[in-house]
Amino acid sequence: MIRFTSLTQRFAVWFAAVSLVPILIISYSLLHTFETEMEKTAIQQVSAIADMKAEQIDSYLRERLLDARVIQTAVTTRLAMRELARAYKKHGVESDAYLQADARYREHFKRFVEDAGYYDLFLISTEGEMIYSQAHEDDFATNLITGKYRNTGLGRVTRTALNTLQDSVSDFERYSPSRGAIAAFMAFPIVVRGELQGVLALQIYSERVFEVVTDNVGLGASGETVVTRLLNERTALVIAPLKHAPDAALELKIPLNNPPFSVAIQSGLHGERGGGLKTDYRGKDIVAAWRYLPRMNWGIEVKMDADEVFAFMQRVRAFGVLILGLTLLAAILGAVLFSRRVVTTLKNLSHSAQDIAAGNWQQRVPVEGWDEIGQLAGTFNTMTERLNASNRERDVAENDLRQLNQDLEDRVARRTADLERANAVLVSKEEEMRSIVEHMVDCIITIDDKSIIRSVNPVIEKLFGYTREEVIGQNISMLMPEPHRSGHEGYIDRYYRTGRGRCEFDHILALEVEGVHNIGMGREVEGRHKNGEIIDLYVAVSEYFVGGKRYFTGILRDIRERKQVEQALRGSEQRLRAIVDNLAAFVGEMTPNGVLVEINRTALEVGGLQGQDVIGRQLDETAWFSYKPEVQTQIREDIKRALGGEIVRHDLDIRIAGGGFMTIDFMLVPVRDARERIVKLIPSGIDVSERMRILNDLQQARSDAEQANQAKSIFLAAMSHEIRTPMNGVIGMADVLQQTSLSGYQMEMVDLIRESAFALLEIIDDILDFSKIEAGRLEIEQAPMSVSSVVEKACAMLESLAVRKGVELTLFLDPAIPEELMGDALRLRQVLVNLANNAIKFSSGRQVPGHVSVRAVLAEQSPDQMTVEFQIADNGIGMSEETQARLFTSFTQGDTSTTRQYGGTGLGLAISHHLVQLMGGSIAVQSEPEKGSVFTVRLSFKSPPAPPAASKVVDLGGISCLVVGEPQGLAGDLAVYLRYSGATAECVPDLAAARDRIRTLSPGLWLFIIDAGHDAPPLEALRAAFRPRPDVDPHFVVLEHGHHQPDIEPRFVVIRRGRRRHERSETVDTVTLDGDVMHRDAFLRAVALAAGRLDEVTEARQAETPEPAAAPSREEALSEGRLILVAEDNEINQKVIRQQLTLLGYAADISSNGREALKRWHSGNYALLLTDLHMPEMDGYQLTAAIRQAEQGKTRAPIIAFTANALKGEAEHCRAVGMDDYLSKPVQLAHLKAILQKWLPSGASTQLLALATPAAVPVDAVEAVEEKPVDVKVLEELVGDDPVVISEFLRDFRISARGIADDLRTACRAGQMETAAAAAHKLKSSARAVGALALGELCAKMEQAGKAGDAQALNALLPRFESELAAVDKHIDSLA
Amino acid sequence: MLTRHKFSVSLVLLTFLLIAFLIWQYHSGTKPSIRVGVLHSLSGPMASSEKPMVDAIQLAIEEANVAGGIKGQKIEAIVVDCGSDAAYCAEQAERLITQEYVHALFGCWTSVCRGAVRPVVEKHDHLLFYALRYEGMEQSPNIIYGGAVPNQLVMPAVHWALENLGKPAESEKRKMRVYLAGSDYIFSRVLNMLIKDLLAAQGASVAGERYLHMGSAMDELAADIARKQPDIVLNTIGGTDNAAFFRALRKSGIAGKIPVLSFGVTEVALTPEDAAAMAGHYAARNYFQTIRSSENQAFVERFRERFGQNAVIDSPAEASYVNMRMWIQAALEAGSADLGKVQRTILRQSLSAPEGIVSLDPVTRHVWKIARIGKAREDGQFDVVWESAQPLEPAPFPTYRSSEEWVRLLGTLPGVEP
Repeated sequence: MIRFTSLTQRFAVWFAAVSLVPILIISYSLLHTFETEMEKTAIQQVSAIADMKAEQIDSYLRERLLDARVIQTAVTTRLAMRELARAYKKHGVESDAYLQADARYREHFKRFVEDAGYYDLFLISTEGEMIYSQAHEDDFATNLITGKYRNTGLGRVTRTALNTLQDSVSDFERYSPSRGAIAAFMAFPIVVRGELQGVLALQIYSERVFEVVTDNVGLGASGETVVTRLLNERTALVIAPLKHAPDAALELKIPLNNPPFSVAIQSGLHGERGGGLKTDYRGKDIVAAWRYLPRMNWGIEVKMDADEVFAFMQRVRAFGVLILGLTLLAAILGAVLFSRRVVTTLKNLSHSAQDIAAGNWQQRVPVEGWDEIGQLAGTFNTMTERLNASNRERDVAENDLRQLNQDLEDRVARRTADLERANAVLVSKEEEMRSIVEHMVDCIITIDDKSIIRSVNPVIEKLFGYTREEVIGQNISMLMPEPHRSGHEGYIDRYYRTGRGRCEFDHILALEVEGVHNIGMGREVEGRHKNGEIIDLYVAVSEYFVGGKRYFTGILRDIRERKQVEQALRGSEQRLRAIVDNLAAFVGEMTPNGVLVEINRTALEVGGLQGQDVIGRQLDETAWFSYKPEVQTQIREDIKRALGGEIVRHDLDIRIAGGGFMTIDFMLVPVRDARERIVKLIPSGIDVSERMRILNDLQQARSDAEQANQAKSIFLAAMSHEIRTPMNGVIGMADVLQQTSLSGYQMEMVDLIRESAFALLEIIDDILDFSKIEAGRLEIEQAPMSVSSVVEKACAMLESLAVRKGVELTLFLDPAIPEELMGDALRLRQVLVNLANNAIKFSSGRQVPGHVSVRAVLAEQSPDQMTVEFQIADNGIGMSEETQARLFTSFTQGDTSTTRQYGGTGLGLAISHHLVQLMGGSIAVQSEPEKGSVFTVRLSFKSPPAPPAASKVVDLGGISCLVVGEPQGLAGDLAVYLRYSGATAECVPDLAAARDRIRTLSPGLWLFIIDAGHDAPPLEALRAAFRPRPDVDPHFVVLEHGHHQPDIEPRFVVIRRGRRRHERSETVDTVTLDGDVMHRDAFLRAVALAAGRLDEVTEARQAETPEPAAAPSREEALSEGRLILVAEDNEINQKVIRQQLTLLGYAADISSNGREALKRWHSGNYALLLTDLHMPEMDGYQLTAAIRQAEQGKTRAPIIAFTANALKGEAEHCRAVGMDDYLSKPVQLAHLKAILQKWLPSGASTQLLALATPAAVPVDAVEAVEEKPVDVKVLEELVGDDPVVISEFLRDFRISARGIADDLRTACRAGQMETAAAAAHKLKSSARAVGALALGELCAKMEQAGKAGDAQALNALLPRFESELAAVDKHIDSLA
Repeated sequence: MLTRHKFSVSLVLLTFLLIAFLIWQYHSGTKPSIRVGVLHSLSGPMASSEKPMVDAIQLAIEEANVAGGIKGQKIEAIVVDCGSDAAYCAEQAERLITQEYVHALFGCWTSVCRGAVRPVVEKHDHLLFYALRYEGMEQSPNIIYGGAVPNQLVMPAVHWALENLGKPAESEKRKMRVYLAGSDYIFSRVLNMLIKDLLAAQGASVAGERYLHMGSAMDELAADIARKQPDIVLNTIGGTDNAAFFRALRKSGIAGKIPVLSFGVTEVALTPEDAAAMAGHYAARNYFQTIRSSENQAFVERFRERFGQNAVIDSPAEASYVNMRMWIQAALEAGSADLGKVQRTILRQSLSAPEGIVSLDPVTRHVWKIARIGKAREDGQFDVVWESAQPLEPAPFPTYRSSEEWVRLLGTLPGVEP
């Protein structure tokens, strides 16, 4: 261990060690890593070049091979081979044949040789003879198996090709025929169709390969590539020229197995690849990479001299040493400087400290710098300063002490003076005390032991009425009333004697108590005023002794006011007590620990208890509660809760007098003091036993009511079900019956049955609806709907009724109403139908023709809300104010008498009213007896979220129209329609006005819309009016309505018969359509048609030609996969559905309960299941669930429910359980058909027979005239396919036709056009009805001609009519 | 004060040591091993043939691991028993690639098996090392073919046989008559197609040609050969059937008279009795256990040390070993076993193998190999009687016909899908 004598030395050595050692370590490791990495990089670089060279050499050779393969497979080569071989063999190389062949192919080979850069090309025969050579050197025409060049590379590759059919490359060798040039050869067998023809050989230059080898790019100055092959195990031969030995090719031999020399070469030759630092053949250190080249069996060594590669390493090392030296120098220098800076300062510090220790207080250390040493020096100086300062302070303290002494002496002198002054003050204080006593509020009296008043303050006057002078020296007893006054002396004596009642004032002044009265305790006593009045006083007496004598002082206060207040308080408490005691409730008071301290009388009386029984006892132990431990526990629990600050309240049974019980509403309230502590609990209770009884009764009543309501619901459901089940039988069978052949009046009867049944159903539905409304169970949907289509449908439903009742029903729909709104279409229609139905009912059968108009008008409009007003107006019987008032109540009709006249449940209006209210609208009526009524329904609708695109209203833009008719009536509406569609429309009320207007019309096309009503349209009159205006082109649209009166002959038969909704152009300029329930679109189309904007659409609504529905047998249906399974328990309904299905052309099996149906279903024969919902054993839901369960994964067969349960939710339930559709009983044939076709679609064999109503036979079907004069199918549709019935009809027709035809002929001859038209019309109808369509058509033409008064046309048609009639006659004969 | 100073010094020292230890631990810690898949049958009829291949692969891996693995990572072989079922083998290949994340696959014996695995490795762009000599006519960018194709073995061997075996006396002046005996599978068919090309070129004739179903009786074949009296029999019968063939030959009494050159016989497949029956006949292979080179001697030594002194190495086993060596060498050169990197380096590899120098041909992905012919000894080993001077270039489609022509010809072979 070195001993350092100074800090400087120590510093220098440590500093150098600590800074230099890391530098040395880091430098060394960096340098080392750097060298290793450089080595690796160098090896990698050389390796990459080696790889590249090997690749270049190999790819050069492979390209040559590939080139050669091209020529090897060329047809020319094969031909040349064969020809040259033959010529060579037969005639030798000198022969003409050979030369010719040679000349022929030389050019071919020359091009190839030159293109690909070969030295020479040879063809060698299978015997090894070289039969062709491009260069014609010495080797030509020698044998390569036996000849002198057999041991050359060419010989070897040729033999390989011949022997093994393999192509190969020979090594580079000096080849003597080519003047010793270094060359390599390739040989390829030529095989044609599996036969060896010879060998193609090529001689390649060595230069290209050598170029690669000698290319030193990237290898620096000393780089070299050594390509060698093994001569033998110990020697390698250098193939290519070396950088250091340019003539080494095939000359230089390198000895192997001679480590460390040439290890790289040896490794390469042994197939290894790698790189590293090695020693080369010259014994130099190199960076080498070695590779093996399989194709040539060569080893390739690429190398650079290590000296060159690592030359810069030397520089790096030198530079490193230099840096290290410099760093070392700098470090030592730094150490010295640093140590000097620190050590010198320390030395100075040490010297200064020594000086100070020697007593030189003024010595200071020089402060240098701001660092720690500077701070140390500064601190040192501060310390010295402090020492100096403390010496000075001690001197000052001594001076202070002396000063203090002096001060004390002065203060004693001052105190003496002060005392004297204090005495004087004392005297004045006494004076002050006296004055206080004099002026006190209370009266102070001092007496001596003789009871003589010694002093008294002036208050005595106020209190007793005596002056001071009057009482001083008197006996105190003068102030006392009797009996105290006379007894006073005795009391005093006794006090002195016994020492008891030391306060003699006590018995002097007030209470005659025998006990001890302590001095100082206040008492309330009575005193006597000078005027003899008794005064209430508060007295406090104190006893004192002065000079051995006994004195008493009494302080007396007037307490008369307080006494009065106390009196008042007592009174109020008594009142309260009375109230509490007489309260019907129980009230008490408890201490916080549950002890009862107070209880009112009611509680005691009810409990049959006395106060002492309960006061002071725990509440739960009192007789009210102690009858049952649970109650006691409850009470204790309550007290605990109340103490927690809660107000406890609940019902509780208590025991009452006589052993009974009473339910009380028990309450426990905590009472807090000002400091929020609970100081007491107030228990209370009210008798609620009566209330409880009533409550129980109420509950009972409610459950009874609920049961009743339940019963009502069940009854309603049952009613619905029970009535609908037989109704199914009635309607279903009526449907079926209608399809059988019935005579006319039978038909009517069936119709009547059907209608009655439906009427009955309606009533049931009404009642159901109504009960639903009453129960609040009717829900209004909010779905997009079209108001116009609702109104149109409602009218369509009523149209037939209107026709029957002879009431004209008109319809107006404000075009401004949007196409789609959010609302409940079903309920809206119900309301409208109800109202319109009433209107029709009540306006029919009167002298005035009935007229009902239904109008929907847009009343208000906001962006998201539309208010539509529906007006249903009639000209019926109307009603009085009184009737209107109770119109919308249930079961009420306007007048009970009307019920008898018009029928109905009287529920319709009530339901409508409710529905409108549910939809958030209002309904109002305006009526006058005998004038008709107007019902107005106002409803608001929200716009749907996405309003539909603009409606496809017929565009009538730019058309001028003149509407003739009452502007207040239909005509006005028409004008609105027209204007909305873009036309300009004017209104004139009548023909006269129209004539006037015609005179002033602007020229051009004018459309005349004529509201003809049931009159003939005044067309001729109008046409006449137009005669002076040839510039106007009038077209007419005629609206006819009110054709229903039986005695008025309608003018346009077409319309009456067909009740067409579609317009029809009767003549060139006239379009006619029916005004009853006229749809807006139909009207607008008619106008467009008249204006020539629209072509009359030929309605190709071919009459459906139903096939005769021969119901298939069960087997047929089964084989077709169309068998239906029906599950139905009611026998009647079984029959009904079987009939219905048969009629529709289906075969069915019927099971009478679900279980049986399921069993049958499992047979897998059925295509569809129709099931009742309510059946014994297994209901429809269970059945469906079982089937769907079994079906999983298989195809899903349709299941359709039919049920009489018309309650809401049934359909949803059906779908939820897995059913596909839902039919409500009674099942109508048409519905059944539609449903079956939907779920069991199929071919024509199931067409429904004759379901089309007779009225719906389209007149347009006329256009499809049959070949046959009579199409029986038309009749079949009307009356069924019973041949007997049909022949009966046809017979009737023939007879009547003959009669009419006679009339027609006669009329024609007589020129009675009107009669002829009428006859033609009559025959037309019946002809069309029986299917004699051609005849009907002819009649129609004749009718027109007759009406037009065109005798010529009529006569022209007559012969055709005769022949057609004869044909029909003949055909009917043939049928019969 | 002093103790406290000492304490803090030792604390600093301890911390330093701890950190140093942790760093050392981190660097020397066991890294996850690199996994390679081995697909060979360890059960079923192929098991006995393929077992040595697995052993050879294991040996190569162990040697590499002793030498430090690949960048410090050990190599681990996941050996799957293919149960001699090609389809199952393909499934396992899929599993090894997609679930075991192996970096390369080694395996298959039959062409059927290789054919089944090939689509799998091609689908995943993976790497399969195949070690068997086979009929050629195939090339896949995802297979390294470590075995010989006919031009490397059959063609020179047939030439050698024609030159050196059973030559008719000079006086007879007739063509050599060669009998072709094979199994009824693609190897024999394709080989004989090539052999017949060569015989035609060499002016020899086919005395007879028979293909037998695997496991069928050999007596009839032997009788046929005896009847035809060819000069040489070229035997391409596969695997274990050779034993029956040679027994039948011996029984028919022609064993000693007509030399047989076999292409399907290996040391492993022969039991001692069979070996005796085959003695004196010839087999063509790239490797015989008796090769004298020091590399081979050392290899045999190592193999026996590891798997017992009776362990027998045949050419597929040696090729498996070389395949694994190639892959390791490529991975070392790439510095990682990553499939993509190895794919780049593998094609340049060459090494000094027990059989001599082998190097990969980057174009065909086959290996340059030395051809050898051995003469069977009584002990089941072979004396090498001929070997090619240098490794022969692999030509899966021999160049004297275009590969289209080969494909067309293959289509004409019975039982071969074109």
